[in-house]
Amino acid sequence: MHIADGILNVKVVIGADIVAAAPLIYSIYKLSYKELPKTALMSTLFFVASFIHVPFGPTSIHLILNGILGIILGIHSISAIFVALLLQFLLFGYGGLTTLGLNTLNMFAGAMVANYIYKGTKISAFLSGFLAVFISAIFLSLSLALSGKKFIEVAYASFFAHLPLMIIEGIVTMFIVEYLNKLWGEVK
Amino acid sequence: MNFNFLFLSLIFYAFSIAFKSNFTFIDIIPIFILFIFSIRKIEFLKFVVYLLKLNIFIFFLIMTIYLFHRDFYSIKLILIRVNLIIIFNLLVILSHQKHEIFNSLVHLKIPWKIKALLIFSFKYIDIFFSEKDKLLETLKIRNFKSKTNLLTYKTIASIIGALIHRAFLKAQALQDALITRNFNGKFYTLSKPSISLNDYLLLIATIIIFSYNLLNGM
Repeated sequence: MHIADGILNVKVVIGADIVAAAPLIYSIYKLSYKELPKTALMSTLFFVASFIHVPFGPTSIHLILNGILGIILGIHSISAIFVALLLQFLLFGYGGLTTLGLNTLNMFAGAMVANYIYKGTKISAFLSGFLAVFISAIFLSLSLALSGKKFIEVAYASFFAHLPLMIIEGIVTMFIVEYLNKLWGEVK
Repeated sequence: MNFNFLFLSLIFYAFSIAFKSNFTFIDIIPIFILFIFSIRKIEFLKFVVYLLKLNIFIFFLIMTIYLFHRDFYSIKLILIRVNLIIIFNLLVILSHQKHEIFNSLVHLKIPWKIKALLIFSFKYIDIFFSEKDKLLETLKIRNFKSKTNLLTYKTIASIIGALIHRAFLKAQALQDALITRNFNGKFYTLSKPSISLNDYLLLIATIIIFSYNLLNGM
């Protein structure tokens, strides 16, 4: 889901960066001493999760986990995502600097939908995971499609490539929530 | 070289190149400067592997543009833009050890909350990687075979759940440590990264290119 520098249209990139800045600044402003370690460590987990591969038929795909991040952190998931993506860029070169805001926004949109959808039931946990990736994939495809007609096919391909991941993320998120509910009593 | 200066140079360079539609030899000057300064620190093979890996999605992208639009101008533009920035970035990150990057992050002049998030996240990356590897190793020892079924997904979910739980325990310990040490948003290190003439030279070069491109409407 990382879009590198130098691919997208300047209006799309700068526009998304500006839109992402507002909730990011709000989250950083609201972040308390108490929430800071939790947000930082969830950010690390978001980073590490992208290296966990899940089997899917003959191949394997890596998880995104923005759904569970949204359920646990709420608005602060944007800070966690931003930091994780920045570190992925600084350590491995994934993503980009100019597109950092756009990539953060794509993931955060899904995370916030997950936070809104989750109501404590198994089905809502599945939907949170599913819709988090669904919304992020829509945003990713939109970013590509808005950058020019030449990206329309890539936008469609990117969206449909995420379909199996949506289902797997939904299932995995449901089981993670079930596991954490046993431990903590209540995730959110 | 000073990582923070390089990072700042990278920001200017990325914004100069990412939206450009015509290139001159001036655009590769920062890469040339950086290459000269960091050549001794970089493993060539590692550099090439990273470069190829980061080009996988780009290859898929340009193949799609080629198949559906035959738009060679866009393909050329994307390839040049993306790879110039990737090469610059790889020269920066591969010429520094992890601890050097960590030490530099501590001295970044950014709001302390963002800095704290960055530093704490960075610090725990290796810890979580080893935790993850331990848990996956346990699965191997128990002869667990990954398949496309619910049991596998439930097992992986349990591993991630365990990691989240451990993250929360570590976060609590970290919070207690911050309170105990009367943390006031300031970070201290034993050594401060030095700044050399090379750092200034590269930063000035990228600022000049950025300004030049801005004045010429990218």
